[in-house]
Amino acid sequence: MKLSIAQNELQKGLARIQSIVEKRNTMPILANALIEATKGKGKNSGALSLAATDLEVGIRGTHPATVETAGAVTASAKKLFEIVRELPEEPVEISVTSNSYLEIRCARAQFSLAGSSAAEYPTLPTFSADNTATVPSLLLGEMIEKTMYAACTDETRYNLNGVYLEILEDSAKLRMVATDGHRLSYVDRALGTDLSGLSNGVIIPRKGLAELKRLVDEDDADEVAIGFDGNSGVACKGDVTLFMRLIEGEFPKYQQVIPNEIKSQLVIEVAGLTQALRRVALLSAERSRAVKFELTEGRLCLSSNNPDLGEAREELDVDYAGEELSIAFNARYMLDALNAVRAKEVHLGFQDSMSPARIVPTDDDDSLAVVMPMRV
Amino acid sequence: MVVLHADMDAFYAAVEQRDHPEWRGRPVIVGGTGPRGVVSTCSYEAREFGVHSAMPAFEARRLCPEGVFVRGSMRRYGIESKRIFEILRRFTPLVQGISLDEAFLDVSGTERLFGPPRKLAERLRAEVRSETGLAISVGIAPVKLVAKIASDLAKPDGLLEISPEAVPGFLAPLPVRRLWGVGPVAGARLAAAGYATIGDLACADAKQLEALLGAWGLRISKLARGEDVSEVEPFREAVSYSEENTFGGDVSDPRELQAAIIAHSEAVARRLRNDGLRARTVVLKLKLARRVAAGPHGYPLLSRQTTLSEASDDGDAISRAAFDLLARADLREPVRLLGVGTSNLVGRSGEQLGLFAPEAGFERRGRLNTALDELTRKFGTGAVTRGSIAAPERAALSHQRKRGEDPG
Repeated sequence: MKLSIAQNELQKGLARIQSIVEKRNTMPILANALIEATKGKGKNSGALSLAATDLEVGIRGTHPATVETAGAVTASAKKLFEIVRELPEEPVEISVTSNSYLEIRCARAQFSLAGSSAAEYPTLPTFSADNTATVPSLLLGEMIEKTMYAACTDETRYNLNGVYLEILEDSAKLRMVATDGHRLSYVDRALGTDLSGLSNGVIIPRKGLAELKRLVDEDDADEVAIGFDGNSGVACKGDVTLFMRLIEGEFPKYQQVIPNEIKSQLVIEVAGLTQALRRVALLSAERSRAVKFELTEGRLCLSSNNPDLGEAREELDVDYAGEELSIAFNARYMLDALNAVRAKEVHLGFQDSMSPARIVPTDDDDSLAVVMPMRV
Repeated sequence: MVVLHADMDAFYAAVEQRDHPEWRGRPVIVGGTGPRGVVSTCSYEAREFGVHSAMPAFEARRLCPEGVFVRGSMRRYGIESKRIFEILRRFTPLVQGISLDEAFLDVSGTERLFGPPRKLAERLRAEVRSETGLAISVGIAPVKLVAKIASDLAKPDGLLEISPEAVPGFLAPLPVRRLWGVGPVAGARLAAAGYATIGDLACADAKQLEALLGAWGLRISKLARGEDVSEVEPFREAVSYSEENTFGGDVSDPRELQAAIIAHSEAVARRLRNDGLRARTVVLKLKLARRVAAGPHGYPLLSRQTTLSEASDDGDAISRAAFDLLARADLREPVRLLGVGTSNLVGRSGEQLGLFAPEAGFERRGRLNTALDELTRKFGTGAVTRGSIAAPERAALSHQRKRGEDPG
């Protein structure tokens, strides 16, 4: 293998795979990047592909390079990145010796980095482009942002460790929904295209989703092609392909926990509530983070108390004329939900002090968050 | 500050002697009776034979063949302990329980009510004696450390008051091992450096002690001068509940380990329910049978913990979590001790409610637990157990309710 590539291209490709490489060292080869060079048709054309996987998520990016000899090798993804990051913005020449050492030259710097044979690296899945649908990057990013925070981090509840995707029967919209058993969030969006492989719904794990979010946030293409097949998912954007292993498990029947009956409802400005909640939460009990919401006519009073520190209280004027209500929430759950809706105002609805609260943006009926209260 | 340290004399043994008049005046040894048994407490008569707590039972038998060996009943001692603490709380609300038979009391500012501390202590001792028939020794001092040493020296059935001026003179001749946290290792290291008594430490340069023992040396230096800043902390809530047992013989059979897990989990869960708490974290503690160093700490100790998705007070949920931990520990050698602990405790109020209906059978489990608790209250621990377990053979009983200052 012998090639030459622009330093910034190489750095971009190596930066992208850093979050994937295995840090726990269960399989040493997974700490490596798979580096493959292919020759193009023209004299000075060719491509360098950089890939990494932790067996749950895999990513491969291809970059233009001048390839003299095609070939493949693997080497420490972290070390390569550290080296390339420090190089000047000049062409980087890479060649591989017969004993799998990478000879890296740039300007007057020279490195000889121990690598290993590409044959030892696990194969990344291939995916046919026929099964993917193209969706706007921004839309996908928004949907992830509005749901991922509610996914469960407790590994024993593996079926909640991701975001569930399904196509709604009546509207043909794509729904993303996540819950950790204490709160839930969903968002529905029309894609304007058919998504195959989604007939039964799929659960994308948190890590895969985080990579997908990173991918859609890169500003190189406005659209991303996504598709699902069996227990894997794929996303292609520009020259980058992301593979995600899906969670095999049943997502709970979440529809039945979304409150339909709302006894007390008010419209409230998100920024004002968020700021007050953040202040009052400062003196909430450390473990529970409980903040009490007391609703009376025209007034919402937030209060907290921490046996070791003291108490806090703040009143907000609200347009409310319903029954009096006292209910407590984990401040973090409420703040996460208010932050994720990205709305100016929300409908905040309650049933009673032991039932979930419902948060719906006033300008978007297609997204919703639910937060379960704490026992007062 | 005026601190009392109240400590029951040979508590478990004294309860046995009170309840069995025929054992009075005889050496009574409470503890495990199996081959691995350890002495929990022994009466003063037994101490004359050289028997002491934490001594292997077989050794106690050798020293004192005519002794009365009793397994003891934590339940009875627990009931007795409750009565004693009720008496202690008559004198001050600031009672910090250290164990079933030991407590610190902050009696600062009670002179108007009870007279000088010495008078209060005499009255306290008399009330415990007349209402429970048991002896309690009391140390009075300006700080906790000194009060504890004083009650120790006052035993049996005594009272010792150390006034603030008398503290340096009182501590000076005592061996360094009397200080909190100075065990055999630190003791030997201090002795090697020429510090034999607390007085030696009090005179020493704090910097030298720091060089010898690290940051902890500074603390030792302060303690040696009678400067103990720790306060009596009555409201400190229990942070963990645990139970463990040393097996009669080394165990490698997973079924036997699981049986022990179930027994401990059920017991810990019962105590949680009793105190209206639930736990989010489950800890499995294993001491391997392989000895790697001399002394009681010479066995490798494994501790594994996991967080439950919902806080629980159910023995089944706790034991299932502990089974997982056992499987993950991937044991390949026999075990000498097994313990199940819970921490990250939450009360009923402030409990995060769940969106989804709990697993099927959850309600029924709750009712079952309530019924079991009722039976246990009436007929004692062990009156009902799960069919799948026979209580593990225990060499020593250990119920612990650990507090904040004692992590892990």
